[in-house]
Amino acid sequence: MKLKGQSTADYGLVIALVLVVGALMVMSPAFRDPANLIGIGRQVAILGIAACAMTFIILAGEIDLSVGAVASASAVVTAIALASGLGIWAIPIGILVGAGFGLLNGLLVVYIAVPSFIATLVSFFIAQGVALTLTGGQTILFDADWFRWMFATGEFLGNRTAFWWLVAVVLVMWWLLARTRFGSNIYAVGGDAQSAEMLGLPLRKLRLAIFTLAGGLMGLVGMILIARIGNARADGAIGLEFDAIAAAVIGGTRLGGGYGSMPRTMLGVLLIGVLNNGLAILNVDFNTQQVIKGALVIAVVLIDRWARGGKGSLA
Amino acid sequence: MSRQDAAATPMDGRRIAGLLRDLLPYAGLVAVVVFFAVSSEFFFNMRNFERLVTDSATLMLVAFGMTLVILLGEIDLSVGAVVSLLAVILAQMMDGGTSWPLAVLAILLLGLAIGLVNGVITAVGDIPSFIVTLGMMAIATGLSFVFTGAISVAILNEPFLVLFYDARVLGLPMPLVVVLVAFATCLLFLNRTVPGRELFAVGANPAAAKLSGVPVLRRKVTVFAIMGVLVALAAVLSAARLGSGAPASVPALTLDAIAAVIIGGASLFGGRASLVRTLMGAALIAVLNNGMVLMNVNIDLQYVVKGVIILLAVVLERLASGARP
Repeated sequence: MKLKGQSTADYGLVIALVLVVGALMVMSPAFRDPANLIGIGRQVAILGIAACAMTFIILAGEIDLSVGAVASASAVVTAIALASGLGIWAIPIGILVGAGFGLLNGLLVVYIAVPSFIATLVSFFIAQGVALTLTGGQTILFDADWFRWMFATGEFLGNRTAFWWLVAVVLVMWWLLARTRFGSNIYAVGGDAQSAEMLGLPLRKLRLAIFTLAGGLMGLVGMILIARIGNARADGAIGLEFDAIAAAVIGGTRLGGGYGSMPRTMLGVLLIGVLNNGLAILNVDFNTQQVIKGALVIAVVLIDRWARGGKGSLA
Repeated sequence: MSRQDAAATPMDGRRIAGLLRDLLPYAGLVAVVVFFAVSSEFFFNMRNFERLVTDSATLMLVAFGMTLVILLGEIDLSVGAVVSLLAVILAQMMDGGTSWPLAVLAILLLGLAIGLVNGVITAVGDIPSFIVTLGMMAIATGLSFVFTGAISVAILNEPFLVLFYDARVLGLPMPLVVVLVAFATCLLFLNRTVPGRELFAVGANPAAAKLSGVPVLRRKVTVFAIMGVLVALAAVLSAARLGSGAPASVPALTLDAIAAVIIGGASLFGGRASLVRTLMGAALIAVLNNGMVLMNVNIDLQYVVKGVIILLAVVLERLASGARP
C-alpha cells in the first residue's frame, strides 16, 4: 500500500540526519572531533535501549508511558541490593522489577482491556511511588566496581560496555522483529488487530510478552544508568518515555502500530543523540532542547500523517 | 449503550460492578473523610476544610476540563506543564509592570490559544491526542524553565493576590467561587446545550455522530479550547495561592486530574463521563493530599495509594462495561 508516502518518510529522516550532522560539523569544531562522534554512541545507550522497547510496543499498536518511572524504580532497587551486599543477585532482581511492572501493564491491557496509555500511567504512579518511598528522596550510594565495569564504564574493543549492551540489545531485537514468527505477529497485531485475531494469532500471549519484554529492558536501562553515575535517585530516568517515543516516532514508527523497524528507530535515536550532543556543544541548554524535541515530534507525526495521504475517517 | 445491554440480559456480576463503579467516588470520599477525621485531630475543622477547598481549586478546574476531553475519548497530558508555564508568564508580566487585569486577560487568551493548538492538531491533523499533548508538555515544561532559569518568580501585586486568594464573595473564598462558577457553566454546557449533548455521541461513536450530522472536528476543537481556558484560570488561582510562578518538572497535576475523572467512573474509550462524579473524584484526591500531609505520612507513598485507587476504578469500569475477561 502507499509505498510512495512511506519511502518519502524514509528519505526525509536520512536527509534530516545528514543535514543536521553536516550543519553541526560546519558550525562546531568540537562536534567534528572524532572522540566526540564516538562519544555520541556511548551517550545514546540508555535512550537506544528504551527506544527499542518502545518500538516493539508502538508497532503492536500500544504505548508505554511508564518506562522512565519503571527504569528509575529498578535502578533504585538494584542499587539497594548492591548496597546491602547481595552481589551478583542484584542483577536478576533489577531485571525482575522491570519485568514485573511490564507484566502488570500487560495484564491490565490484556485481561481488563484498559487502554495502554492509562494502564501504563497507573504503573507510572506506582513505580514512581515505590522509587520515592524506598529512597526517601535520598541518593542511594553503592560500592561495586565490578557492576559499574560490567554495565557502563568498562572499556572493551575501543568503546564502553554501555555501548556494547546497546549493540547487543539492538541486534537481538532486530532479529526478533525481522526474522521470527514473534516479530511478524507483532506487525500483524499492530497492522490490524481484528484480522490478526481471526487468523488465530495468540494475541493475549503476544501482548503480555511484549510488555514484559519491554519492562525487562527497562530493568537493564536502570542498571546501566546507575552503573554510569555510581548512585541511584528516584527520578533518575524520569522523562525517558518521552525521548524513547520521540526516537521511535522520528524514526518513522507509526503510532497505532504496524509500520516501523529497528534500523529506522536507530536512525531516530541517532538523530536525537546528535541533536542533544550538538545543541549542548553549541551551549543550547537542556530545556530549549526539550522544546525543540517536543515541536519536532509533533511536526514529524503531522508530516507522516500527510505523507500517507487520504483523509482521516472524520475529516 | 453498555447500560442497555446490562438491562436486556441479566448479568449480575456486571450490574454489580456498574453499581460499585458509580458509587466509588461517593463511597471513597466518605471513607477517606471518615478515616482522616478519626486518625488526625487536625483534619475535621472549618479552617482545614477551607484550606482544603482553596488548595484544590486548581485541580478542580483542570479536572472539569479533563472530564470533557476524556468524554470525547481523548486525553490531555499537557495540563500540568501548561499551568506552570502560564503561572510563570503571569508572574513575569506583573513583575515587568503590567497591570493585573491586562496580565490575567493575556493569560486567558494564551490558554485558549494553547488549547486551540492542541485541538486543531488532534482533530484536523487526525493524530492521537496523547502524542500531541505529550509534545505540548515537553514544549511547555522546557519554556517555563527557559523563561525563569529554574527560579520561581515572586508576585508582589497586592490587589491581584487579594482578589484571587483572600477575597470573599457572600462569605465564600474566591477560589471556591471560581470553581463553583466554572462547574455550573460546564454542567450547563454539557447537559443543557445541543453542542454539549453532542459530545456524548462523538465520544461513544465518532463515525456514527459524523453520519448523523454532528460537526465532530469542531466539537473536538471546542473541547480542547474550553480545556485551555480552564487551565488558564487554574494557572491564575495557582499563582495567587503560591504568590509566585514556578516551573515544575513533575506533572503531578495532570495525573491527579486524570485520576479524578477515572475515579468518577468515566469510560476510557469515551462516551461516558459525569461532571458531578468527577467533582467527587477530585474531592477524594484533594482530601487524600491534605490528609496525608496532616498525618505526616511519607508523602511519596501517596503515588502508590493513588495508583491503587485508579487501578480499582479502572477495573470496576471495565468489568461494568463488559470487558472481555
